[in-house]
Amino acid sequence: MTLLTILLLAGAVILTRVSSLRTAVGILGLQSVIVALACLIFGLKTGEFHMYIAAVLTAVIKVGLIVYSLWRVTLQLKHEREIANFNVSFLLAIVAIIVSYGFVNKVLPHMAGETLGAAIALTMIGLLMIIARSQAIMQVVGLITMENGLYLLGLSITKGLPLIIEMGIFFDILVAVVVLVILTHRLKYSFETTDTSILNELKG
Amino acid sequence: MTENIYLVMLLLFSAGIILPILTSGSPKITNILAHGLAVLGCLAIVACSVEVFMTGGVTFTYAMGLPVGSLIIRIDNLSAFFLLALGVVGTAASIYALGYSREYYKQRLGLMAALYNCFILSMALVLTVSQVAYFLIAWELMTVVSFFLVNHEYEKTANTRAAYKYILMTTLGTVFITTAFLILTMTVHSLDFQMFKGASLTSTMRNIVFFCALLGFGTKAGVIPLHIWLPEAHPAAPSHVSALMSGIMIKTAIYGMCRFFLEFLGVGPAWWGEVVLFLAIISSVLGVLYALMQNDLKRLLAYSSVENIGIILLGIGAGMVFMSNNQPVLAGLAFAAGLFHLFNHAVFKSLLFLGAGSVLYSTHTKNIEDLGGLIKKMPYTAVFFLTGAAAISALPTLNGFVSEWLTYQSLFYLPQAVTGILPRLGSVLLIALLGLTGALAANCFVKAFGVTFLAKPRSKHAEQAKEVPATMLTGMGLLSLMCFALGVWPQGMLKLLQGVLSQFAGLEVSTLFNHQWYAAAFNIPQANGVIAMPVVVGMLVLGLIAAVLVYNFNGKPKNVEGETWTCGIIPNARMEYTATGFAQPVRRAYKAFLRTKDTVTADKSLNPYHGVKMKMTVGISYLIDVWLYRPVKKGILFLVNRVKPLQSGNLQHYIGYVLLVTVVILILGVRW
Repeated sequence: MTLLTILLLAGAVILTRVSSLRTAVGILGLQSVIVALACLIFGLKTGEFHMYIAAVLTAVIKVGLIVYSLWRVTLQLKHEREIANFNVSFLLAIVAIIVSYGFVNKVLPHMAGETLGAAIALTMIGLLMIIARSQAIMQVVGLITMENGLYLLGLSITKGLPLIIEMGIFFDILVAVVVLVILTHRLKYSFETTDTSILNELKG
Repeated sequence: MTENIYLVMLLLFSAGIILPILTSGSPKITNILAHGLAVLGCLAIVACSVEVFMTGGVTFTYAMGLPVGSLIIRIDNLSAFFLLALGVVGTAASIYALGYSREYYKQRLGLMAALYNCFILSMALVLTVSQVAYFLIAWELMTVVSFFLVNHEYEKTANTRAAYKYILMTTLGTVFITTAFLILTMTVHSLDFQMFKGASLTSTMRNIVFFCALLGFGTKAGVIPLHIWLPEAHPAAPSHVSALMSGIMIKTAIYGMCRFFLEFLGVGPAWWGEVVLFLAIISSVLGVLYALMQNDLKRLLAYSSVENIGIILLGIGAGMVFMSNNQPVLAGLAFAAGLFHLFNHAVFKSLLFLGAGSVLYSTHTKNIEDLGGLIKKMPYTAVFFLTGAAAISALPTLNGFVSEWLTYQSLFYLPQAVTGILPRLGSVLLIALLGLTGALAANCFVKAFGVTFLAKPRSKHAEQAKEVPATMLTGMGLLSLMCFALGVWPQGMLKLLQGVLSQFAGLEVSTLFNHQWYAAAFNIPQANGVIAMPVVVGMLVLGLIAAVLVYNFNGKPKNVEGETWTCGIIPNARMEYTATGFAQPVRRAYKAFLRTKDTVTADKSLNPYHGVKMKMTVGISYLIDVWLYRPVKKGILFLVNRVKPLQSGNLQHYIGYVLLVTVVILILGVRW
């Protein structure tokens, strides 16, 4: 479990330095695989049947559908690259990890050292991605990273959320991604680019 | 019994809210249904209050559960007194509305009628609800509904501006009221008004509660310097609504003050009363000065409301001073004077607003410079308006006289009650200034009546005026009768006031009005040879009869040849005394307060030396605006402009703010 956590965080940190959209989507797929694995391990540990279902759902939706649709989009966006200050986002990601572990240490000392800190860090890094990236695809990647963080949070605190809530979250995220993918298409179609920084033109 | 009447009242108004919206097809049916129900509802309010006066106060509680707890309706004598005013004025205004609403047949009548019912209902709730959360809900409901009524004719930009100014100011007031209530609630751990009595607060907290209540309710009452919404909003609303707003809505603020100052806070230090007196006298003098300067009939009446709120608060402030000096009889007299004036003002101010509405109805203008000569076209309206104008000028045999006379009497004892040379001087000045207010008010209403109704019509609008429909006249007639009844026979109302005030500690009213003459003649042995108002009326009637006899004795008028007047021209409307001209002496005299900005420009295009056409523009500037509101406005704009760059239009920045705030809250939350 610890190994998986470390892998997840490492993936997230690496995400902040990636400029190629396809690499980012690949890393995202790997992360989702790790989350599904974590889910499976939890299921083995606790023997709860619904954890297996959750693992399968994660695999199908996050690893399968979402990554596939994003991949399809990136294939069309051959000339798009993320241009941002990677050093700053990298540093911020490190700071986010430190802050979240410190926070967990302070508030819930008995939970320290578990995955809780990593979950919070993952959520914050995801939000940072949304803020700091201008490519629409990268923002979607950030959103899913956040979602992974939240999922991990649920796993680490409650030993698995009730299935119905997890299903809700899954479909929510699926719909969000579908909408975002469509929007990205439209962006490409209307503005010839998926760089969201030009959307400032809409300001009244 | 009371509870049943109360529930019937709720039911009637609820029907009055729903039905007009459902019957939007035919304005005539909407009108009759909505305002008919409003009349019935107002009669139920009157019945409710009479029942309480006869059988004593009632409390009924409805368990409503979360989130704000059980609804407590408590109608004691104080509530009943205000309910009586609401019922009387509401009945008259609703009857009047049956006719007046014809103006609105093509202007969203259904909506207006529904809001009108909702408005009266919300005021009734404010006066009866006795639980903090529901009181604030009812209070805000009253504000919001009246906001929509003020904004009803939103086609005119001025109305929209007035409405927004109104909602801004009253929201500010509600902040203070809520603060005052929250402090009390936190102290006694209860939302029930009954528990607030004698709450054990530290003196600092008591002072804070006092100021919050004064500022909060003062905003709604239109006390200067918090009045700026009032002269804008009251003219903008439809006239029957203006009558209710000026007559009752601003009085609900006085109701709140009475609750706080008499019941919750109990006897306070003398300076509380002095603060109230100070605000009161400023409101009266400046209010009437500004009223005199207005040429818009409804605006003039609105400023006059500011003045009268000042007079009411003079009574209340004096009562508070007497209370803290442990003079319960005088305190009772002062409070009785204040509340009596409140009732009277409710009656005659609504009468005047209805009169102004009638003028507006038949001439479609509120500018008195364009009116004139209406007494011949609309004789009944003129008589009713004159009654109101005479009452508000405090002429004897009308109700305004009684209450102002009581106010004077209580103020005469004020110099004895206060200590220190400055307060004494101030309290003497107070009487003089109240006298000045009375004189200016009389001047103001001579102008309002004279220029509007006398002489010759100044415009086509005024020439084509017709008498208003019977329903409108009935509404005004009822209130005129009330003016006479309360002026000639005020004992009934004084008895009621004794009942209202006797429940409060620190007031002693049982012996107050034992004398025949409603003067509380202290130190004078049981009066022999005092004259009562009916005697005065009898004498007046005798005088009138004598005058008629003398007139008849002189025989018919005959034509007398004389010198030519106006060089033989037939006098026309341009020769008349204008409203601006009538107010000119006062303008000159109070130049320092009014900051008059008069300019005379000569058009020298035709004659280079002195010009042929002269143009004079007159204007005044409002000290409060210049000194208080403009700096505040500038400050707010300055701050806003500093903060504006935060709104970059970039979504990612906004998400960044959210993240930043989250992190900061987390860090603060764990007290790193």
